[in-house]
This record gives sequence, C-alpha cells and structure tokens, in this order.
Amino acid sequence: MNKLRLKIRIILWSILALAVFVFVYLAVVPDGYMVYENNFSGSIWHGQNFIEKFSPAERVENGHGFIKISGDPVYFSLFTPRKFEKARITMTYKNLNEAQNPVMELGLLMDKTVWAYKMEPLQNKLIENLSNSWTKIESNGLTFLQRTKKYNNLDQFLQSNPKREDLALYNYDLKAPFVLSDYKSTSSWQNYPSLRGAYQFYVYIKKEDLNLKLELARLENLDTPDEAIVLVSDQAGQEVFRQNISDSKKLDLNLKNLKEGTYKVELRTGDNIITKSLATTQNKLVFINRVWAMTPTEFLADNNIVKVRTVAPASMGEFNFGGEKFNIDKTYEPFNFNLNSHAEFNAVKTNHPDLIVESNGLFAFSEAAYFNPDFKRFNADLDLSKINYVLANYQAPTELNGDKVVTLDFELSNAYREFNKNSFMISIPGADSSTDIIIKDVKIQLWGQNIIEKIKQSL
Amino acid sequence: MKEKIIIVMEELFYALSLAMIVFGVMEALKARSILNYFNLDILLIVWLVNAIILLIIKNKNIKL
Repeated sequence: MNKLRLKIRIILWSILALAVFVFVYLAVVPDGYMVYENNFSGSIWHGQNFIEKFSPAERVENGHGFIKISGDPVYFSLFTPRKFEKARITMTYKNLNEAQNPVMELGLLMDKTVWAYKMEPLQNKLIENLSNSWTKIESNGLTFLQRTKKYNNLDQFLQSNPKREDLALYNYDLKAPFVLSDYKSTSSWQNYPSLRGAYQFYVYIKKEDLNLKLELARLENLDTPDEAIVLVSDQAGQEVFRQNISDSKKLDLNLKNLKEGTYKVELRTGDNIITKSLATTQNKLVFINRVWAMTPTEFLADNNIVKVRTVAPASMGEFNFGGEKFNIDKTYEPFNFNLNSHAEFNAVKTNHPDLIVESNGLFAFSEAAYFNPDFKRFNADLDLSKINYVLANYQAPTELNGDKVVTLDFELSNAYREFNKNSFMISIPGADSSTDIIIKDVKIQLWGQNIIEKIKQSL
Repeated sequence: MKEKIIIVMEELFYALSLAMIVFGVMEALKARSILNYFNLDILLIVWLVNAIILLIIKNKNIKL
C-alpha cells in the first residue's frame, strides 16, 4: 500500500476511533457526574439537546439565545443516557414584570398517575417583599418572618408551640401533631358523590377503625392507564396501607388499632376511572385541593378563590360559588372565581356533572365534617391580615449582569422516568401573553453512581 | 499532485463512510448516544460533498 495512503488512513481512522471512545464515554458517564446545558442558541452543529424543547409551543416564544414564557405551566424534559440520583439545576432568567408574576416555581415529575410534581421555588417576590416589612430571621436555610418581633430566633418560636392559624408555611413541612380535642367518633356510614380521577382526603381517627368502601368503574372513551392504588398514610407521612385495586375495582377497608390523629387517604388513578361509590364511617373528612364530582352536588370550600374547569361540553353553564353566579362557557379552560368574602366557608354548587373544582385549600361536604390539619400555605391567595408568622424554605435568586440566577437541588432516585427522560414543569401562576419572563440558560449538573459502584451493585 | 489529492479524498471517503456506519450502529444500540452531541446530517452532507468531488476529480483524471 502506498505510504501516503497508509499515513492518511491511520490518521483518519484514529480520529474516528477517538470519536467513538468519546461518545461511548459520554453515554456511559463512568465517573457518575455530568453537566448538560441549554442556552437556546439553536446551533445546527449541535445535536439534539439533552434539555429538550420547552412546551407547549403556544406558551413559549423561541428567540436566539432565550425563550419567552407566555402561559402557565410550561414543561420540559431532560434526557439522560443513564440514571442519576441527584440534579442541581441552575436557571438564568429575567422577570420583567414581577408585580404581575411574583411567583415562579420549578417542579420535577414524581408520579405520572396523579401528575404529582415536587415543586421548588425559583422566585417568590411575595416573600421577598414581606421580608422588607416584617422582621426577618434566617436560620439553617429557613427564613422566619414575624409581623412584630416577638422571638429572637427560630428555635424559640418552634418551642413555643405556635398557633396553626397564626403561621403560614412556604416550601416547608412543619412536623407538628394535630389533635382535635373535642372530637367524637361515630359508627354511621356517610356516602359521598361519585368522583372522577384521582383524589386525596384527610380523615380524623380517635379510638375507632378506619372504614372505607369504594367501588370503581372505567370510562370507555379514554385511553389512559387503568391503574388504581389506594394509599393511607399517617400524619408523619408513613404509609399504613397500600393496595392495588386496578383489577378488582373494589375496596372494603377496615384498619384497626390506629393511633389518634389525621390520616391521608389517596386514590392514585387516571382520569378515566370513576369512583361510583365512596362511603366511610369517619365523620371528619375533607378533600384536599380538588373535587371532581360526576353528579351535580354541593359542598364547602375554605378558600375564597376556586378554579373551575371542565372537559365536557355538556358541563358548561352556571356555577355557584359563595352565593354568586358564575358562568362556565368554555371547555378545557380554567376559570378563576374570586370572592371578596372573608367567610370561613364558601358554598360551592355544581349545577352540572363532570366539573373540576380546585383550590389551594380543602373542601368538605358539611360544616361538621370540616377540619384542617394543615398549616396555612403561603401563596398569592393567602390573606396576610390573618397570619403573624411565615416560615419559608426559600432563598431569593442572585443577580448577575441584570439577570436572576437560581440554583435548585432535586432528588432523582424516586422521580418518574420514562424513555430515559425526567420531566420538569415551570409554574408561573397567572402567566399569559402579557407575561414578560425570559429564560436565558438552563444548566443541569447530575450526580449518580460511578462505574465501579455500578459494577459492585450488579455483582 | 492530482494523484495525492485523489488518495486523500478516497481515504476521507472511506473514513466518512465508516464513521456513518459506526455512528449508525451506535445510535441503533443506544438511542441518542451520538445525536445528542453531533448532528449526523452534517456528516452526511460532508460525505456527499466528498463523494461528488471525488467523482469529478476521478472523471477528469480518466479523461486526461
């Protein structure tokens, strides 16, 4: 063979071998650490980005080197060639109208059945504003705000057993047992209306069994998974019962010897599953955040703001909230109804079936059934005049060349993963076409097992 | 000189052809192991341009 030909062949094939080695290395990530970045430059030289296109397209305007968000929520996926355990996301953005959109959160999809996201704050201007007018103490990464200074530090406040109604929490769970001192159990069965999709409710147990009967049915016109799991957890978040009723579609539950306290009951299922009948002997029962009743019904909301939507044209029409009449005239579009009332409860009356009623609070089917074991959550709907303290797990974004930079950590081990992708959501309540939020860069650092640990584990 | 250019272009053609086969197999074995880093369309265009140039030069070579 010609010497020149041989030389060129060796050089070119060595380059190819090196390229193959680099691609294999990048696919295996042998040291368990990788960084992916999307600066929205859209260069044709690059391949598909690991941080995929933000969607839906109608809520995202693509520019060169940035994207502009014009709707809520916005989703993106992270493709990784292998599993990682921890992600650190650094987002560089500009919020040009903080008054209109004071809250921005980033969530990681944990459970696809009920679309549960683990949310972390990107920015909460409401807390930042409150920090300027209330007394602020920072301790162990937590921000403690007092309307008037009463406590010198956070420990002192926590040891004082603060009243639940005085305190609002943001991105933080305060583990404090909830006790209903004047509670009396009953043994009579209470029936609830037929419900659609997933739901969660709290019940209170004191020297009694947890009795629950439910029967499911499937809507034929939807092609979503049939999986249905019933979960019961105590107030510490420990699971006390779990059963998959996807096949039987029935549950007759009797849990004995439960300690006094609040228990959360969840049905994790898709929107094609209907709970035909739901009955329990627990006389304190409140639905968390959502009621999707399949029959016209009446219940109470402990919030003066509700969001109502429907997926069925037949469900459009009049809707009553707090004695006022509202009209639902579009499908799939959420309608926000805001009352100027400061009443403890506002009556909700759905005149049509298949209406989804959501709020940041709880729903009860009678005043006697209502109780609230949760601390108040700090959000835009919160009436600040009713609280004196805020405890937040929140760090304000840092400023860099006029942009805001936020770094958030997520545990990926238990996150939902499909087709080698993790899914994220950016939530900006109230975002619309007038929203002026520009995302310039998303950088994701990932940590996982290195190749030696992986081999050891598989052996 | 023309002969040397032909050798270079031929070797480049073999290397690019092999690269396309290897990268194609790697993509088939592990999806997006190449596409996430490198746009294979570029490789295809370079391969095509190389092949066309090679054909033109060789054609001229025959006439000479």
